[in-house]
Amino acid sequence: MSSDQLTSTKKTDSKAYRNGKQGTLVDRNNRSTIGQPTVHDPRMSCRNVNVYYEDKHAIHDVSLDIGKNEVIALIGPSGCGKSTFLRCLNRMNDTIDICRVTGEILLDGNNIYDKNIDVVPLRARVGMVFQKPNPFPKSIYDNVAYGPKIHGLVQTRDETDEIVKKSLLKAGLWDEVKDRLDKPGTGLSGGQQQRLCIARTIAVGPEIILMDEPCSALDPIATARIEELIDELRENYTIAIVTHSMQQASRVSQRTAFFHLGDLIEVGSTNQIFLSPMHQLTEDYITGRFG
Amino acid sequence: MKKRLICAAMVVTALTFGGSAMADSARDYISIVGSSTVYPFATVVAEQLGKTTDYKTPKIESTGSGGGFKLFCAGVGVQHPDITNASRRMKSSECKMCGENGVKDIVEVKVGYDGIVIGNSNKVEPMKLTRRDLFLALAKQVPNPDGSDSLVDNPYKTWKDVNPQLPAIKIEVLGPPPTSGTRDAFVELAMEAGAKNFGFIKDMKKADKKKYKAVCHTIREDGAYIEAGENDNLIVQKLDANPDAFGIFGFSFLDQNTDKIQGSFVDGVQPTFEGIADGSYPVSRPLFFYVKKAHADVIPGMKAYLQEFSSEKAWGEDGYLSEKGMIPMPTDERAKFSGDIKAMKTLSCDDL
Amino acid sequence: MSDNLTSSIDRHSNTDIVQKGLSKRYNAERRFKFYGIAAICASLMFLGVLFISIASNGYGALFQTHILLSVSFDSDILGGEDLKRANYQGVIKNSLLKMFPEVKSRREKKSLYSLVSSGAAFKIRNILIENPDFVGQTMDVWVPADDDTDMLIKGYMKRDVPESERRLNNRQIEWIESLEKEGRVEKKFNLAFFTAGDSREPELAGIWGATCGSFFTMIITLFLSFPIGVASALYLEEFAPKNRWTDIIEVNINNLAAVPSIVFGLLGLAVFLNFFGMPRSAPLVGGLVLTLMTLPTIIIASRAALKSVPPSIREAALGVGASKMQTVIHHVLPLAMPGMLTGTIIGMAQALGETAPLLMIGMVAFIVDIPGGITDPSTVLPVQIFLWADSPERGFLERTSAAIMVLLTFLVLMNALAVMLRKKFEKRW
Ligand SMILES: Nc1ncnc2c1ncn2[C@@H]1O[C@H](COP(=O)(O)OP(=O)(O)OP(=O)(O)O)[C@@H](O)[C@H]1O
Ligand SMILES: [Mg+2]
Repeated sequence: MSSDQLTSTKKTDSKAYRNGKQGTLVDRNNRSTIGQPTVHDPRMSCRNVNVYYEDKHAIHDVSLDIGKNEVIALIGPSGCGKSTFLRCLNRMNDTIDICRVTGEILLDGNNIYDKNIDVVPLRARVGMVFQKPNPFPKSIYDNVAYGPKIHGLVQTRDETDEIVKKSLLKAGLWDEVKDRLDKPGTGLSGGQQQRLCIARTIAVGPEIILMDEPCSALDPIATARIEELIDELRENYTIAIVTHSMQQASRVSQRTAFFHLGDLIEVGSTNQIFLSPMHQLTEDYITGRFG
Repeated sequence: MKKRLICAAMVVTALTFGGSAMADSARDYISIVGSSTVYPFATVVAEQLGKTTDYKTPKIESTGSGGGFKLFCAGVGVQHPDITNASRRMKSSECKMCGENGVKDIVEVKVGYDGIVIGNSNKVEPMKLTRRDLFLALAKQVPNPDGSDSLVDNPYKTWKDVNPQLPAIKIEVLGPPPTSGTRDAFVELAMEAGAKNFGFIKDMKKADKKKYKAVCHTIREDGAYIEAGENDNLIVQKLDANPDAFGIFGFSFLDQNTDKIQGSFVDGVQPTFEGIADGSYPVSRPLFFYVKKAHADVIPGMKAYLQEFSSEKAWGEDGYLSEKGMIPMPTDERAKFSGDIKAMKTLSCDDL
Repeated sequence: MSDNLTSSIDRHSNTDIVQKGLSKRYNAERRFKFYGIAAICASLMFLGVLFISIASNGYGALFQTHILLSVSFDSDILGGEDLKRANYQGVIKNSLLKMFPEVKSRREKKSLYSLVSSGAAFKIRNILIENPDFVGQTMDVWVPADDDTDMLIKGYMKRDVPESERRLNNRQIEWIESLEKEGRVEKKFNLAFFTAGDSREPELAGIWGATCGSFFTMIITLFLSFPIGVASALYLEEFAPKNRWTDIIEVNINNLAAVPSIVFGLLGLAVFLNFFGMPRSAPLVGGLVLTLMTLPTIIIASRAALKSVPPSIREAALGVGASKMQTVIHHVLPLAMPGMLTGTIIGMAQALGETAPLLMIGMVAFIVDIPGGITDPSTVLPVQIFLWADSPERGFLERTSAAIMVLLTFLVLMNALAVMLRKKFEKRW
């Protein structure tokens, strides 16, 4: 990864978001969503989603659309429910016994929480990269090839080789691992593992990719590579990304949604959120005046 | 791998049911159960049969006399044993149970005698005991030492307390637990007989049989009698280590360990081969086995086994069973029972 | 706030306090280490005492006294055409009498004959059946000595005590001593102990029958309890809904693991023997009963192994669209396998040493013939040990210890296997 690549990534106005229009802000006690939660051509649309962990109400009545070919950033303080919300989108929360989801989440018009929806193809369509890197304790090759294999996307060894190479290239890991594809994936560094997980996810060719802080363990160069990848993927995919980095959100996303204590506070175009937030809480958060 | 395991499980299950079906149809070996006292003798005969003939070696389980009768009387058919050994005679209740389950024709065979020895280490002089001494030393309740006709908890601490002619050593007797046939025989042959020396206890037999049994058969529990488990070898080892202690065990263990232990005199007779054979040693009991007549022609080797057991080279005066410690019957008794075997003379429950 | 904290405590005194406490902490550590080492030493010592006492008792059983007889296969003595039923006892007696021609009385003859084992006749029988043309020849054959002779040679029976206190009389000892002088007495490796079935003669008794019985029983137990245990653990841990029923099942499984093993024997008696009518004393039934006994152990160990697989692995697999089944089979099971195998082998080792439940189903029995299948009557190693320990003959004492050594060897091997399997599976990643 060369340094000119680094500079070539969009260094979006890092100072711009400070120029909030103060005075006209919505009061911090208003907890209903403001901005534009809906779009005219949604890929996924969530309506009145509530999530409970046992009796803890983790997501309150969130409605949000995710448009075609857009990157939407989910931001908010730690513990506000970003991961929880993201995991609803491919029903990853089903794996947690105590977790209960109400409301509806439509993917191309079909409610994914419908009884007759099969989660296996759903998760093939809606891929996920987790907050903590979690490679399989298998070889690097097998990690990437696993998804395509179980879905029957590849028949021959050559096809598999190709898809593994392509995915690793896209994830920016190929050069580092091409000589040790048969070595365990768990033997990689934290950042490399995260990129391996990304490669594993895109190997299946999902239509929507959910990324939960994919760059939290990465150095700036790898981060830049991932952001580039997100940019590339946007042409064909829809991406939802959780991030703690304002810069990253503003660099990669078109829309941004701000969560706070389980509420979706404000959602709008990334520019608008960072340049002229409408809610006091949003303003506080993006200017780092929280807590 | 998983698939292979499932296959294996299926094979095993198939074998399970196949196997049980197979076992139902035939058994080509004799199945014997019963007393652990007869076990060492029956096994020798069985082994002899297996080695010298083409029949398979009989299988012998040591279940205790009572357990043996239970299995034996459960029914006729290959899943039930053919022969049961017993260190006592069959009870009429057991015979009735047999009859209810279709086991009608039973041949009773007495094979010999077993002596029950009270012994100690041979590093000291042998004791001269009587059955009265044994009763007073070991019963839970004994007649009041002041001579009145009442029972008190056993007050005796040393043998001298029991009988002034005996040495002043602490009463410490190692013996089998209540589940053992040896113990049953001991309380019956030694203690009950000793108790009969007391007139009022003897009278009790007619008046209150239950109480009489309880008095005669209950061994003291204050530590003077120590239950040493079913393993007679253990008793022998402990006696060797502690010359003051006595032990109760079968004659075959004395016979095999004469370098370590000796038998005490009981009523003036020492437990020797001859003493038990001629009946002068009082604490001895007959040993039996019982044969299901219905099986005699079905199970291969039954006739041969009975013949081997009743041959002179087995149960005779110098037979190999006597080498293992069994006391042979007198000649006329041997003749009677080998005649019974030849004729397959069956037993009637009324005789018991 | 944090400014206050650092300024109020002098930097210097802070390090001092740490320094002062340090020696105390190290002392505590040293003490703890010492206790640990002491505990290890104590347990090693007990183990050592156990092993040494068993080995020193059992070592003798690895050798068996043999006597060199010059046997003449005289067809007069053998009598008859049928070599299978010939009078081999007579041949042995004849060759003994030839060595000690002065023995005349019936009683003396008997005590002379009793110097060699009754197995001697079987030995020469086998020789002759293999080589029928030996008839009429004379040859030297090493035959096993009787257990009393064996005990004397091994020094368990003292020669200098009064005659009445030993099982061999003075004449017999004289004969043995003269045989020794001629070099006709020798301790040889006791092959029979490893190849023969049970016997009432210590010198002929072996553990092969019991070993085979244990093998068949263990095979049944392994092939039933491993798949059933793993499958139940997988279902309970991965698929079963968490509700009252699964709680009840879990409590019951944990209870079963603590039930005394004799109870399983009673159950086996009632169900397999009385209800299904399976054969008594068969490894098949033994294996089934021991399966019941080991199942809880395997299920509990397998569940613990499954629980210890990090949930992130499951999420990863589910996240790329693997079905629940695929997730479990491809990812969770391989990771849990070492733990499951360890649990299984521990369960099997327990089962290998079990006698109580086998008592009820008739496997505590005198069985001479080597079992050839899972429905043949047989015993198992611990039962053999139990039966020998209860036998009056002195020779069984050392054989008991030797059998314990064999059993312990198997247990050690199985546990080593468990460690090896675990290493192998764990090393992969
Ligand atoms: N498995 C769970 N069981 C119970 N409560 C949970 C569970 N997972 C999350 N929560 C709770 O739900 C709330 C939202 O958690 P979530 O993980 O979605 O936060 P987040 O926004 O992703 O935070 P972070 O930025 O730190 O990752 C938290 O209060 C958390 O305590
Ligand atoms: Mg999170």
